[in-house]
Amino acid sequence: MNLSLKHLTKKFGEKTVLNDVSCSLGEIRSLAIIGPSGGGKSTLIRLIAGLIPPSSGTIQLDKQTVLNDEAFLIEYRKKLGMVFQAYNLFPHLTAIENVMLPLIHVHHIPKETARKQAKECLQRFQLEEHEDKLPAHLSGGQQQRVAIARAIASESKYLLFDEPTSALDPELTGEVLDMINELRQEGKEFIVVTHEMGFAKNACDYVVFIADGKIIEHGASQSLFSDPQTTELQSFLSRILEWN
Amino acid sequence: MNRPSLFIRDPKKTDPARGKIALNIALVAAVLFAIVQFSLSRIDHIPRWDQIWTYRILFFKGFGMTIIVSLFALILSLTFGTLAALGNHSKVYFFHYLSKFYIELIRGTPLLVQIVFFYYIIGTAFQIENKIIGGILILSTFSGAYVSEIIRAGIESIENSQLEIARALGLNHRQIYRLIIYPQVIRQVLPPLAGQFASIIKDSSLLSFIAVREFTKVTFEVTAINFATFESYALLAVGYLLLTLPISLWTKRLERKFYYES
Ligand SMILES: Nc1ncnc2c1ncn2[C@@H]1O[C@H](COP(=O)(O)OP(=O)(O)O)[C@@H](O)[C@H]1O
Ligand SMILES: [Mg+2]
Repeated sequence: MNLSLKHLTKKFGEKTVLNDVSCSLGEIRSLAIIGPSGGGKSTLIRLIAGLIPPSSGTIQLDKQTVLNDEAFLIEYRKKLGMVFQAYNLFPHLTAIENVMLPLIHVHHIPKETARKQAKECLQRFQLEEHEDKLPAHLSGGQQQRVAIARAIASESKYLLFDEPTSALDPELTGEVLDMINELRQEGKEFIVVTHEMGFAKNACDYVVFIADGKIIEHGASQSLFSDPQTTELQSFLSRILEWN
Repeated sequence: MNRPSLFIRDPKKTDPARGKIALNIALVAAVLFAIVQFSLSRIDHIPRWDQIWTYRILFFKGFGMTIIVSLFALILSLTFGTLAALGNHSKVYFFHYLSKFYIELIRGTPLLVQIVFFYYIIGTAFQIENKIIGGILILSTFSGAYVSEIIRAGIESIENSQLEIARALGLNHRQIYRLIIYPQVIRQVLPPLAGQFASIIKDSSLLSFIAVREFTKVTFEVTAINFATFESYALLAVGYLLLTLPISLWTKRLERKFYYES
């Protein structure tokens, strides 16, 4: 994917959360966004997902400018599969119904075909035994995997993850990261906000480091982790790797 | 102590034997019956159940009126309640405060005061002469304030994150209401609304104060003639229970069902 941010600023009331961010990334298959909490990572990925409008500046994804227009945005969002930290599934629908919902109502696939596709998708990720369960009866890891399966079933062009594992304990974290990595190997492109540095380093080819509403540093993941240029990134990495 | 007993309940067991339940319920009924019998014997009362039969048509009409008034009040109070909940959410200050005033005024004053106030003052001023319609209006105004709080709680129970996820999936505004918010609000509000209906049925008895000839008013009238107070009020109680008990049991079932589902 090509992602280009031009003078992107986001304010919530008086508070500036992203401050005149610019960068142009071409031909990236998997992008990790890292940085201290409160730095603006979620805000950035929600801007890219077209869920909130920028205060000023523009975002281009594959040369297409994201317009602040509801009709445009509804079409735009259909191409992206977003998975949040937790509670991605609608609590009143079973796992399979959660997967079917966008197929039927967003992509206008007939109900029976949608059911078949959803079933196949859940099967593919070894989730078929849970298809008739409500989210409350699934583990956190299973919920996240169903949410990812939903994005895959909808044939989203790109996947966007906002800390998909930070609400999970380590064991479940592994099963979700494995799934994302499997998708990467199949050629699925994605952007992920993550605190899992091992994952950012090994499963993402490019990394953007954000702190205090600014992109402090970005680069190919191997070199960025082995040779951080800024003191901010150095101290962030040493702090986060201290106990690893 | 692990000895199974006919009389000891184990809170962890969800379905004890039917015979055990029946036995214990019968026991409670017997004790209550004994207390009533004892009280009656102390005042040397010999029940005259034939008096109920004599006035059966009147009782029946009153019972029917209670049902009709309550049903209409339920429907209207859903309308009032929804409007007030929408008003509360409105961006227009006027509607916001209008609904706040409505809810707080109604919830903060006794129904009886409202009935007298509305009926004799507002009703006279605006010439609402039909007592039944006036009664239904008052009852639904009262109940609507509670319904609006039920609906508000139902809407607030839906997390903002769900709306963001729905948008991220590409659902439009109308679909979000139809597929995500509406079905969940219905599940949330159905049990408390059923409870509210039971309240309306009981509260409708206060309409006897403005001479709506519903179940309670009819009972006043009958006892004024035949003095069979005990018999008439026993019938009155049973009549209300006949309406409210099924609702109460149904509410409990709904609550349990939704509890296990979420
Ligand atoms: N909707 C909002 N309204 C007000 N402030 C917000 C909102 N969303 C985020 N913020 C603030 O923006 C800052 C950055 O938040 P976020 O993008 O969530 O950071 P991160 O994901 O890096 O932890 C935080 O200080 C947060 O409090
Ligand atoms: Mg965040």
